[in-house]
Amino acid sequence: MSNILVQASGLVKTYESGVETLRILRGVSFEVARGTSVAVSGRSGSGKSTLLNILGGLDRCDSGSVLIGGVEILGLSESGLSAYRRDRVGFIFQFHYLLKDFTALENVMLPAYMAGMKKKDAFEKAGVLLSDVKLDDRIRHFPSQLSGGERQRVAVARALVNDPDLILADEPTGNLDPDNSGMVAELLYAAAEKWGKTLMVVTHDEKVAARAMYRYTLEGGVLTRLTREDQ
Amino acid sequence: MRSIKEGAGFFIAFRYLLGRANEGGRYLRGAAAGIALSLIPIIVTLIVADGMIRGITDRYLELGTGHLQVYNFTDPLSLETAAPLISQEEGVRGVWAERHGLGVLIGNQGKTGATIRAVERSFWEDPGSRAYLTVIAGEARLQSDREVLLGEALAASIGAEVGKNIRIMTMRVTGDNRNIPRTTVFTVRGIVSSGYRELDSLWCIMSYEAGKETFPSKNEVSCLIVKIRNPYRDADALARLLGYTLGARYSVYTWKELQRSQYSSYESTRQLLLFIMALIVLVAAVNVSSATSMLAIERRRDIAVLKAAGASPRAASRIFLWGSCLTGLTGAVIGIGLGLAIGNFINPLIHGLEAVMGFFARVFHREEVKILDPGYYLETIPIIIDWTAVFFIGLLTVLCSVIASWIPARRAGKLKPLDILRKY
Repeated sequence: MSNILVQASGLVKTYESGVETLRILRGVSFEVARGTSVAVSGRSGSGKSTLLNILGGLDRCDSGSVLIGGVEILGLSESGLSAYRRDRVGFIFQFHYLLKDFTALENVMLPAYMAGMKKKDAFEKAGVLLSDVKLDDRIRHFPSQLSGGERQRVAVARALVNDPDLILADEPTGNLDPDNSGMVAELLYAAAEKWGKTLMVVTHDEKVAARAMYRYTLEGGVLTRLTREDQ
Repeated sequence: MRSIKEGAGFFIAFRYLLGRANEGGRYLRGAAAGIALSLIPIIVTLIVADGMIRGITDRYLELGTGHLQVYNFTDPLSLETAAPLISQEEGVRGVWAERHGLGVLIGNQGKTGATIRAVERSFWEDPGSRAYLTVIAGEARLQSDREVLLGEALAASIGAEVGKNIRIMTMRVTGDNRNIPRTTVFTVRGIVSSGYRELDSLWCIMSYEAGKETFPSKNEVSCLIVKIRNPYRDADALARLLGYTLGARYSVYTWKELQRSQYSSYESTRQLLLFIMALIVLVAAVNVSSATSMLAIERRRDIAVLKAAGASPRAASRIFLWGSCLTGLTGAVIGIGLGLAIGNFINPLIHGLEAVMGFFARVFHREEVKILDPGYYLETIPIIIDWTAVFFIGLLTVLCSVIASWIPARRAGKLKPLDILRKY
């Protein structure tokens, strides 16, 4: 098995905005090895989230190729993309997006239960993951009963429940105060390391980015890897 | 590839149904209430219609045709000899010989045509007959072959009274095929009511022995009336058995054949009523569709999150189909439950309503109000529950709810997660 999990090459993405054509990605190419962490920084609107969404099968690009574990995802059908997201990707968004009718434990177990895991096993696994993000005592709480940081920690646990190869985090600390931001980032990296996951984080937060093994910046549609000196 | 588990769709849909009032759950609960309300009148109608048909049919059968009738067209006058054989059969309650024909009754105040029924006396003492025959005057027991019982309306039309004589004119066919009128005097022993004006205006009842004398000809109608324990279940089977036991000279008819036109008329009225009521359920099912649409709009973000987590469009649709199914089921269970409860207490409810209406009627018009007139109709509606029909009504309600929600559920499944997540 190749050590490279993500292989993106020549990704081009444009948006039509009235008469203007915005070129968000101009031939982006990069590779990410299994079990590593990558942070992508850049100004707002530079296309960081778009890149993440393309890698996660939520968005499509105009041209290019994305191989995840050797499988080209850009040619997949809707149902193929659903299966890809279910089996190989875990998302963490800037906003927690927890389902408000479900407890923290249920929010975490649902993706696993939907993926075919037995209800009991899904609950068990969700419990372990919530313990990893230090929410043992909050598992029966509904999102409205949790703080912003706690909700985001639930979202981290949810992203891990289906045992994905790749965790995509889009500004995971963007809505949090510095204390919570540091805690969530620490738990996110720690969980990814503990479970041997490949983590790709899009962030404005220098501290969050600094924790990653590799750093990139996306400016003018071009992705550039930062060296130690650049950082 | 693993498929999305059905259980998860049910789990989410169930939670939506129980969801808080300010969330989409209120739409589903409102739709379930609509279904429940539309099912109540259907179930009550079903119980009342079946009860009334059963009540009316029972009365006709117990007083009139019996449950089976046995004829011997080759030798009608020796028909009674088959009675002991029939009585031995399992499930037979009683056998009575009857002759009947037409005659003219002449009383103090007029004359009129009537059906003269000559039945063995014990027929009128059978508990089934006694339950439905009301004695208006005198008694319903014939003491001699020169006594008759008259229907209430018939007695009134000729001015007959208990203890007074009437004359009955019948036709006798002579050996050379001439019709000769014959008048016989009878004493009115009792005036009775079957509960139906059309029967009460036609029936003149005499003893079987008197009937044989009054209608001596082989051409008059003779039959054996058979009453059985379970006429609604066993009539066909017993008719076949008796036909086999009695042999080819005898013909056996069930009450369904004898009362076919009347019974089918009741059945079609019942079905028409239920069909009209079913339209209300269809409207309620469409309401489930709009509730599903509203729920899907309110839960767009959930759909997006679940799809981002790998739910396929079909799996997302299934959540809403489960939602509509559960809504239909909840509405059906509540509606059928309440309908059955009201149906079971329909008699006290009607009598209570009569009392209330009677109170106001007395205040304004001084007339009593009778919804069920015991003189000509059923005083008490028998409670008959057709469980098969109830089951199918429930099943169809759930099916209609799911089918009506198909389009909004499919639409919800096709939502693009990214388009929605960008909005929140």
